[in-house]
Amino acid sequence: MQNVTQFIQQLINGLSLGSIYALIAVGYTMVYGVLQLINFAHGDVFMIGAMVGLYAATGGVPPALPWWLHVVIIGGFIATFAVQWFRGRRPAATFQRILPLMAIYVISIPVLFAASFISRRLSLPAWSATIFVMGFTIATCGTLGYLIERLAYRPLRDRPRINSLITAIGISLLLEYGGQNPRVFGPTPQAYPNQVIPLLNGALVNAHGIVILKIDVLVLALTILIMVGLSFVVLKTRTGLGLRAVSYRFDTAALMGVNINSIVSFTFVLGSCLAAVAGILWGVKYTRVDPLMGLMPGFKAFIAAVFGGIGNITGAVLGAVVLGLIEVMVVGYLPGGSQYKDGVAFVILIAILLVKPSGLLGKNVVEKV
Amino acid sequence: MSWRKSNILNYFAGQDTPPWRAVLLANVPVAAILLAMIPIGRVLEDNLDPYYLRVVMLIGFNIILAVSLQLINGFSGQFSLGHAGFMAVGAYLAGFPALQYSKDFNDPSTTLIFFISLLIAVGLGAAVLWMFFLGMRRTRHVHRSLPGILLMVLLVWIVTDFAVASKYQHPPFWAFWSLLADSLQGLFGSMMNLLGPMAASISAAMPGAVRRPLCFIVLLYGAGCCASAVGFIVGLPALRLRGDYLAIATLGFGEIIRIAIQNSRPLGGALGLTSIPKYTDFTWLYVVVIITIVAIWRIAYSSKGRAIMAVREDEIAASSIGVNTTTFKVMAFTIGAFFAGIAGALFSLHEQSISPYQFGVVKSIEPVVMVTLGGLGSISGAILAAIVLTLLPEVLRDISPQDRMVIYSLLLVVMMILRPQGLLGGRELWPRRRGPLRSPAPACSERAVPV
Repeated sequence: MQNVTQFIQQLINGLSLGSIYALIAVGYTMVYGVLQLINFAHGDVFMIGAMVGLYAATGGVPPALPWWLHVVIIGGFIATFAVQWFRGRRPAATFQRILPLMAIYVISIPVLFAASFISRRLSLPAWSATIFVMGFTIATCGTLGYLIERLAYRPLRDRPRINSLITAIGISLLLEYGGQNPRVFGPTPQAYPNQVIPLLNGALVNAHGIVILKIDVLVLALTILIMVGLSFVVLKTRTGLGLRAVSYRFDTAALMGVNINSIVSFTFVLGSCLAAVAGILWGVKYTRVDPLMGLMPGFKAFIAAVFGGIGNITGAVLGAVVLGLIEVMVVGYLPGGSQYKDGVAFVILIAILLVKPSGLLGKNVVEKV
Repeated sequence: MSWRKSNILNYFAGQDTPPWRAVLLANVPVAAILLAMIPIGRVLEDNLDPYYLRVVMLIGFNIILAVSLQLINGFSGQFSLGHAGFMAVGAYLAGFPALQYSKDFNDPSTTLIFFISLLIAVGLGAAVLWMFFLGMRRTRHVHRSLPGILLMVLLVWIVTDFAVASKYQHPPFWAFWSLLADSLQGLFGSMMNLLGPMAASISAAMPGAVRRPLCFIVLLYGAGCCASAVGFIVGLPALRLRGDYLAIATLGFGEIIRIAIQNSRPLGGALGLTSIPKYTDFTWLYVVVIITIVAIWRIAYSSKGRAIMAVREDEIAASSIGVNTTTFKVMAFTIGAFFAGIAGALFSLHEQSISPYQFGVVKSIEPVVMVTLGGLGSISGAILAAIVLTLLPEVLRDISPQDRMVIYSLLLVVMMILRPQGLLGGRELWPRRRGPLRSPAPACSERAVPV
């Protein structure tokens, strides 16, 4: 009886962990499907999600960006105009191109102010508080994902893929170590307080030695919901059609009138939003966040995406759940297993890359000359 | 008169047979620089502030790492993110015997026996697993079975640690593996017990001035060989992957090596090895630096190097003109791992204490940044970048390690967007001689040497 209870408990933990991985892995797999790019920074967007969620819930959102950031941003805009003028592009055309960036900057000012105001007097009813924290975090991470794509990856899109990979590593390091700066998040781990998101705390079932937290159920439900939703978006909507076209053949899709830039941006924003949700859930479940926390979950989610067949959303979810289960079982049932927690994922990665590089559900692609 | 193109490597490859006199002559400048390191080292160590000396030493380690990674990332075009793993192998396999068998560097023979026993034990284990795997796969292709062997070696390591870590009754499932692992450890132990005293007596017969440097050289070379063996085992399966998959796989291998070391009792676990005797000084380090640069330079610009670069430019085209792409990729990987291992060995015998956390992902990324910044495919660029990126945080004294990484990452991103080919962009700082220096073009080419 003891064994059965323990096994069921491990199963629940594994499913819950795997579902969080799934939320991150979907972002990896979608970006890879569209751009053939391993977005190393995705794990760090997840970290930013956890951090911003914490700050939004505890009143830590600053009312405005620091002055030097304003200087950098406005200076950047001016420099862009100057450089483009120098290269012979009219300011009006430049304006059109960087309009989204300027819009984000302008909109961010009142949004940040309002968010700071709300987060400081968060005696809202539980539902509203949850919605606010979730919404603000998702908006922040979505914007971040858009900015990363626009500023770092788009200029490199027609260069060799290895350049984008190096840039991705650079962005990832920038977020990790920039976050460790004491002016940003600080290097020390921070505790998610008990009442970050009032609705998500506590156990749903606590009987016969089995504990099912509300968050476990929510994570699992959310994962299923998101999978269904994504399938709908990808299969039934116009954007999804474009997404499939772009992932099938990039250049041909462009020739057929698909707006590549908006499709890629959409992919990044969607992936980053899911990572933000995963970040908050991770924080609530494991109650400890720090700027380097995105590294390992990010790698594992990527491994899960490869495991399931990269570019395939169902495969990513499946791979993530299996990976989560394996990890929890290794920790639970092997002596000294917790030390090998991180190693197991890499062993799985290498095994899958060697045995079936296309993953569980992926299809083989033959390179043609 | 094509002796300038001749080098030892071509000689061993049987491509051409230069007269030894010419080979010696071609190596005179190198030997002169190596010899010059002795007085330079004396002067610097006597006069330089310890802080500056430390910076100079750091530059040396980084140059070895960056230049050896340049061969993998820059010349063969295989993006490796696991250099710290090889460095860790070198560091531990130099630090461990130095700590265990020859704390005062007086015992080169026992050290040599250590490496030989290690290679024999591991080789035997690999052979057993190989046969086991051959039976399972029924394949005659060695390279196909190697991934399986590798996985099983990892499994053995992990299971041994489980068995050792817990006073646990082995379940029957593990019996074979723990038996194998125990017998390997027993073999290693008994070889050391048997041959160790004999070797020690041989060492004792040597004159004192020979023993210490010889022991150090054996340590470096053994560690390098072990690292390159690991590089070979890692490279053979991993290099079947392309581009970003390879990057991820090497990253994974690097992490696996680190985690395996972190969980291994004899290697000190998470605490690492401490109070390793110190031997590396300026002269030794920079002698190795120069040897590394010269070796990588000559490999990169030899006919082998041409083949390696051909693989980088277009794998399919290269294989269609008869370049065995796997061979050359693995060659670059193995040689790079060798020098990374030597850098690790020098590092552990200089720092005197090492821990697995020093060889994490960040340590792998640092040389990647250097190589990228210097320009992929440029040895002098890698050297330049290693110097600049080591000096940068020292110049900006108030900057914390975190902010140093911020600067690194910004450099990477900005560099990739504005100047993706790096500082030197595949060229070298100093001009490469094409053909003989003094004599004009040969009147009649009695020996057509393919370039």
